[in-house]
Amino acid sequence: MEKILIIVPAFQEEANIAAVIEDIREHLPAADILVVNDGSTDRTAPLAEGLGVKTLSLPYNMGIGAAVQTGFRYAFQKDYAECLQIDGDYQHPAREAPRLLQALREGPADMVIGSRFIQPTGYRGSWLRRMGNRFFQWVNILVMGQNIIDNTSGFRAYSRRAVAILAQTYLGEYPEPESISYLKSQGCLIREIPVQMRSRSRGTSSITPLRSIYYMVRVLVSILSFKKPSRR
Amino acid sequence: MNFLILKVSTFFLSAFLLIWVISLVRRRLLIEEYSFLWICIAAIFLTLSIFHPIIDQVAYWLGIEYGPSALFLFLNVVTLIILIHVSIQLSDYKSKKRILAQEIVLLRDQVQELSKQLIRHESSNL
Repeated sequence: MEKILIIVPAFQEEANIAAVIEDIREHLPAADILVVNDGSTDRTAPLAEGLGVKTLSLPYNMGIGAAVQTGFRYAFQKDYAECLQIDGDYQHPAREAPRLLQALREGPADMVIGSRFIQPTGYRGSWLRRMGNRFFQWVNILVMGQNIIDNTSGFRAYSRRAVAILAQTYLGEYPEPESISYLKSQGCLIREIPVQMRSRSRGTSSITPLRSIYYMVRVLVSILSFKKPSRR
Repeated sequence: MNFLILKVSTFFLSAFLLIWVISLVRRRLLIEEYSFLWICIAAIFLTLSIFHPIIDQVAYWLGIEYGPSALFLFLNVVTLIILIHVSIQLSDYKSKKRILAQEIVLLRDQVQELSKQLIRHESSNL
C-alpha cells in the first residue's frame, strides 16, 4: 500500500476542523493526515492535535499558498507517494477523495482536480467565483492549451512528481490557477473529474468583489510569467 | 538678496542630509550598501547648491528651458529607480522570510519527533 498524505490547510477553522478530520478518517482510514495551521489565533491547532493529528503551525499567517507548500515540503521529506489536498473549511467531502486518487493512479496524471462544474453537481458558488473561474478557464486555454473548467478548486490529488515540483516552487499567495499552468509548463499531466462539494456552512468566505479583481490580476501576471510548455 | 537666501538654505539642507546619512551609518542604522547611495545623492545636492549654474547648463544641454524643471526631472527619475530597487529587495526578503518560516516549522516537527523517540528510548532502558 502506497503512503498517502492528506494535506489540510486551515486558517481560523475551529468550527470545521474536527468535522473535516472525522470525515477524512471515515473515508480514508489508511491515509496520514497533516493539518497545516496557517497562523490561526483560534483553537484550530489544539483541536486538531487533540484528535491525534499531526499539526504543523506556521509562525504567522502566510496565506494558503505557503500553507499548502509547507505540506508539500513535508510530504516530499517523508517520501509520500501521493498527496491529497482537502481544505479545512469542510467544503470538500472526503467521500469523493478515493475517486480522485483512483483517477490519479489510472491516469496517467500528476494532478487530478475535483471539479464542481464539469457536470451539474448541485454546486453553484457565488457569481464572483463563477466569473473568476470562467476568466481562468480562458487564460489557461490561451496560455497552456488545456481546457480546465474548475481552476479555483483546491480539492486535488497530486502524484509524487507533482509534489516534488510544488515543494520546490512557490506559486504565490493564491496557488490554485497558477499551479495548473506551472505544472503544465513542467510537462505534468492534469486531469479533472466531477465531484460534489458542500457549500460553506460555518465561518466566513474571504471573497469580496474588490479582492476578486485584485486576485485575478495578480494571478494573471503570475501565470503569464511561466514559460509555454514544451510539446510532448 | 533673495537669491542668496535660497543659495544658503539649499546649502544647509544638503549639508544636513549628508550629516544625517553619515550619522545613521555611524550608529549602524543604515547598512553601507544604502549609505553609499544616499551619500552620493547628498553629495550631488551639495555640489548643485554651491555651483547651481550647473543645473542651468545641464538643462540647456537637455533642451529644457527652465533649469528647476531639469532638477525635478532628475529627482523624479532617481526616486523612481530607488523605489523599484527597494521593491525588488522587499520581494527578495519576503520570499526568504517564507522559506525560513517553513524551515522552522519542519525543523520544529523533527525536534519534537526526535525528543519523543528519545523519551521512549530512555524509558525502555530503565
